Amino acid sequence: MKIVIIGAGQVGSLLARELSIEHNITIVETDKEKSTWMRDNYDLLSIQGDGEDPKVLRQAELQNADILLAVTGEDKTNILSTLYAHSYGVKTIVLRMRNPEYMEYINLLKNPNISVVIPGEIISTKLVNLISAPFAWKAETFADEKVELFKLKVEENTDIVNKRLSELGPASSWIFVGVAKKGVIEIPKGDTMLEKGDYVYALGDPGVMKKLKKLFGFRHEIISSTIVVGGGRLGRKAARALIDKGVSVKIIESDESRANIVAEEVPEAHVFLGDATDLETLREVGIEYADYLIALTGDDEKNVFSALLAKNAGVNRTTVLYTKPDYLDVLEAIGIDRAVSVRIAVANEILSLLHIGGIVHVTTVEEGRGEVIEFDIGPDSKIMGIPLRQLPFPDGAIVGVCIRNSKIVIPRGDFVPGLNDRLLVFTLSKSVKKVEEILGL
Amino acid sequence: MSLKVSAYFLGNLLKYLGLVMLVPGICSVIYQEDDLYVFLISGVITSVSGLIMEFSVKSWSDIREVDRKTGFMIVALTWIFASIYGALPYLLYGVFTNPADAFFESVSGFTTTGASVMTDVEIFPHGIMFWRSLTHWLGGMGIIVLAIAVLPRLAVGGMQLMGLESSGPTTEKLTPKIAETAKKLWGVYLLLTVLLIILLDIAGVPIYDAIIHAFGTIATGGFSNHNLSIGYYNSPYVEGIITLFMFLSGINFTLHYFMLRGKISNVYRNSELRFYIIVNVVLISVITLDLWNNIYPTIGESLRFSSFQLLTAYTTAGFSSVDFDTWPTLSKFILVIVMLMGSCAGSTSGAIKSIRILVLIKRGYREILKLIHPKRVIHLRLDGQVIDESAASSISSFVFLYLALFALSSCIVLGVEHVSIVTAISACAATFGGVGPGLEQVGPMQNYAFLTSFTKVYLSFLMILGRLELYAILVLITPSFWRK
Repeated sequence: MKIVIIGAGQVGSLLARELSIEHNITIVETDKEKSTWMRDNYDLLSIQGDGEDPKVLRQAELQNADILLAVTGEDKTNILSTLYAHSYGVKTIVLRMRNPEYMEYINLLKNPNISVVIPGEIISTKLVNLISAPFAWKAETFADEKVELFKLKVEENTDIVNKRLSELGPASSWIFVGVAKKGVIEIPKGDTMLEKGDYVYALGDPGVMKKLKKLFGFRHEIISSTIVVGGGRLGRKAARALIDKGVSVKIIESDESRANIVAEEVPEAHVFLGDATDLETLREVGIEYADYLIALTGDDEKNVFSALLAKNAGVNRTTVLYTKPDYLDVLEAIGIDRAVSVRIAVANEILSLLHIGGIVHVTTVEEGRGEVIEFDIGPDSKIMGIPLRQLPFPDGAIVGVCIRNSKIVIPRGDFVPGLNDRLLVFTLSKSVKKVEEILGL
Repeated sequence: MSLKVSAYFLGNLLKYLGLVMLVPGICSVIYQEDDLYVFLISGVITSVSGLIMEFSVKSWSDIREVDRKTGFMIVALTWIFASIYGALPYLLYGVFTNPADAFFESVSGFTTTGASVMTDVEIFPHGIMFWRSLTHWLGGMGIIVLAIAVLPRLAVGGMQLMGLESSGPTTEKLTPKIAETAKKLWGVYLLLTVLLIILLDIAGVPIYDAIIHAFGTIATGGFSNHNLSIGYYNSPYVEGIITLFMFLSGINFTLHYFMLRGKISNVYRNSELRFYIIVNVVLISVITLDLWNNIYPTIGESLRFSSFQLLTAYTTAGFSSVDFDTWPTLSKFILVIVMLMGSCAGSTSGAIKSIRILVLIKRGYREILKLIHPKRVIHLRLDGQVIDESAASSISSFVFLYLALFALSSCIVLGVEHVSIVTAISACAATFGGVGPGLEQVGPMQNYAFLTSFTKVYLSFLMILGRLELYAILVLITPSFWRK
């Protein structure tokens, strides 16, 4: 498919990397250095120019494209290129929008093929998910919330340390699909040994949370007092979600005028003006009484350091927002409990909106080293009626869960996919192509 | 930098190069000659080496990106190894006993130089001569570009690999997918080759000769299976067809593609093409007048030989239809100048390339304007688009490096060999630019066989350096490339 991406920033470059393997990508970027980098490193057509400029869009042949992904950081650029694509009848348009107030312009177009992705909303939904499952690192929902993906940490002094997966007993309602050891993710076998510090990915229905929690030895935790660092759009959203759950919230914001907005918009929260990387500010906010800190400023380093200071002052759990992909492994190593990446969240959302080849939803894990593919078995499916054992699945992939007649089935080797089944396949990035080949995607 | 990735890539290439080596075996069978075993053995050695390299490294599947250093490594090693293995048939058949001779001939083939150390090309079997010309054809559009076209999974390095191998300062992508672009370029290349074979065959050239000369022409190589080169046919018609196709091969193949797709405006606007045509017209006129005055009785005959010889030097093909070493000095000097210039970027020709010269001319003119109006803001423009300063200055550096290396090499050759200054200079210009024959002792009726092994290896190095436009090789011999 011919896809035009506007903007080679964090989100655009991740999308380009994922999509350029299969599709014809043209990427438009203003910055010369970024544009050259894309040209030299990925298999795509890179055009240096302004995505608002119709001449540039014409050069990118947007008028003949199947899909437009307008993902620059500038709302206006995204809207203008959407307008261009809309006029030429591009079949699928996804645009990123920072300020939801611009939605009105998109609504005016009355085009059902345009999807809007608002990073703030995606992140806040993700945060709410995390807050509701405080022991899991990553809680992602699939198949209309019938299935959840959990990322669980193997903690020290729990029953599961140094046990083989087969020793954990048979499970009828969940399946371990991946084990990440020191950032290297693999598909577990029965004899895979769990060690301290490993992360385990599990797919199962949301009800199994309690059982998993017990298995992994998590104590019951109640979050009662939370500090939110950063009073931006995202900080305010998260604060609102937490307050609605009955949690008491304190917000630290370093900009005075913004602090005033926060105080006005979220009157239930206590708003403090100050720098969250100063211990003094944290003390004044009452860091010793807080049990959770979420750092949501736009500055990776600031988020990390405020979380580390909080951790040092005795805060149980910390979550930081980050953008730079290189930080993932380090954040875990230095003791940040959870890291939420804006670029991955937004890119995942966009990929799942594309519905390329029967895929309903794609989610990447561990910075794109693995992914979960959710898809439906249609009438012309290549694998319908063939037992899983007979399909040449590579070592790097596993069929996780099947939803049949809205019930969860954990498929074994003799499982036969039938019409209208929905399958969730967990695969490592190196096997994605092979898996898609087998599935006929 | 990853040696494993380089080895995997190289292994894959050699595996298929071994298969390609079997193609000349068809000639051995058709002409019932005794050189079939040569291609079987060479092919097996090459393919097995490739397989060993490929399997000595882990799986390729998780490599999605090739870093810059590895990219340089892959391109340089591909050309060096292809040349080494390409020399096997010559050694096995006993065409040469000195490995340096075989290597020289092989490098000269792949880099589409066409300089030869064979004293008599008419005594060897058809298979050997076919392999010699086939190396031209493989190297013309590029071994790596071909690999990417046929084996798309090698397209992991993005544009870097193709950019390093293709001629000219920038490489344009015709389509988002690099494998598609490579296929289209090879498609145009194949089309031109087939067209030329047909036309030559119609003109009465035997089909085997037609294929040999088509490979030499479209790749701007210059190997012939006759000692007299194109002069053997002594036919204005054959010369005319080859002149036309040399001219076409000197044009950016992207423009050929646009032309075939009916995008005439892209072709018409191209300033490099205009420059190329103007230089051709002006210089052919000058040489024609010079020859008419001094050698040939008619203007027609002067035009016939001047146009052929100018194009063969300018496009760096290096055929000869006549012994131009006997020409007046002005004409010979012009031939050496155009050998250094080279035709268009993105063509199969060698040397500096017109686009770089055009940019430097514009830059020089701007300096003059700046002296008159120091405060005037003047952009360098090409095809209506502003060229940024960094691109223009890297072009200046390239041209300087090229000329400096040319001068240095001439000194080296003069130091090692007892030859005239004209021989040394023209030999370096002709090998560095991928032309082939030079003047005097390396003139069109002579060859490079009399040189010492050292000079042969040095000139081979110069040919690869010139074919890859310096940088891919130069970075490898820069100490900081190897520093950890």
